[in-house]
Amino acid sequence: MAKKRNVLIPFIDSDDINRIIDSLPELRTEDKRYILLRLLDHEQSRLLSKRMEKDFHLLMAELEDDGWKSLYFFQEEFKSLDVNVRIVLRSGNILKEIHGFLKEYNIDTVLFARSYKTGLSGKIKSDMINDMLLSSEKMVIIV
Amino acid sequence: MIKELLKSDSIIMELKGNSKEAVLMEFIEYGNGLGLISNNDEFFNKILELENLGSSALEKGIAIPHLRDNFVSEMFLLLGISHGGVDFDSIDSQPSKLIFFIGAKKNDKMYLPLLSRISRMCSYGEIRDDLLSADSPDDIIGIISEWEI
Repeated sequence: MAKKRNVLIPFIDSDDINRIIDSLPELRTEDKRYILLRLLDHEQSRLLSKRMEKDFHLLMAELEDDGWKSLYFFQEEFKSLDVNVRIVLRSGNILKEIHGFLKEYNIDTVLFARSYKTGLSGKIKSDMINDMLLSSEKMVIIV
Repeated sequence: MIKELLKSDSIIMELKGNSKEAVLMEFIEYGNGLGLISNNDEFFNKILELENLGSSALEKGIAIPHLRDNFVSEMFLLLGISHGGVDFDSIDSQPSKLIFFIGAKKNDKMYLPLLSRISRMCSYGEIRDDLLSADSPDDIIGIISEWEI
C-alpha cells in the first residue's frame, strides 16, 4: 500500500474546520491522511480565567473537554466524507506546540482556514499562520 | 461519567488478541457475552470500516475504538488492557495498551462527552501508569472514580 501523505490542520476555532470541510471535496485524495490538531493557548486561557474569575486548571479541564468533543465531532464529519483522519489535542504556547508537532511527526503539508476573526483569537491565529508561512519548510496551504 | 458506565465485568485485565482485528473481535465477543452486542459480524464490519478511515488510536498507548449506530441498543463502555501492546496504527507508532471500546445509539448525547472525558483522562501520564499497573477491575474503577471526583 502506498504511503499516505500527512496533512496537518492546526486549529483554535471550530469555524476553521467547518470552512475546511466545505473545501474537502476539492482537497481530498486517497493518498492523504488529515491530522486535526486542536490547539489551546495557555496565555489566552490565563486571561480568560482572570476575566471569568475561574481557577485556571478548572478552566483548562473544561476547555480540553470541549476541544476533544469538537475533535471527535469533526472526525465523524471527515469520516462520513470518506476522508482519512486522525485527531490530536495539545495545549501550551501555540507556536511551540505546532513546531514541536512538526518535528515529532512526518508532516508533508500544513493546511489552514483563512482568518476572518478579530480580537485576541484573530491575532493568535494570524500569528500562527504568518509564522508557518515565514518559518516552516513544509508546504502551507490556506483555504 | 466513565465510572457510571464502566463496571467490574466490563474490564478485560489482559487482552488475548495481538492484532487490531483480533482485539476488536475479542471486545465484540466479550460484549456479546454481557448481552451488550447482538450482531457480532455487523458490529465488527462497521467498526473496522471506521478504523480504516482513521485509526482510533491516540498518542501514548491509548486507543478508543467507537461506533454509534442504531442497531446498538444502549450505550456501553468496555476497557481492555494489553500490557504487551497492540498495533492500532497510532500516529506516534506506539502500541496501544489501554483500549476503551464504546458502542452507542446513533443520536446518543453522551457519546461525545464520554469520548472527550476518556481522552482527557488518558492524557495524564500518572493515570495511564496507574491503570496499567492496576491488579484488578476494582482497582481500575477506584482510580477512575478518584480522578472523576
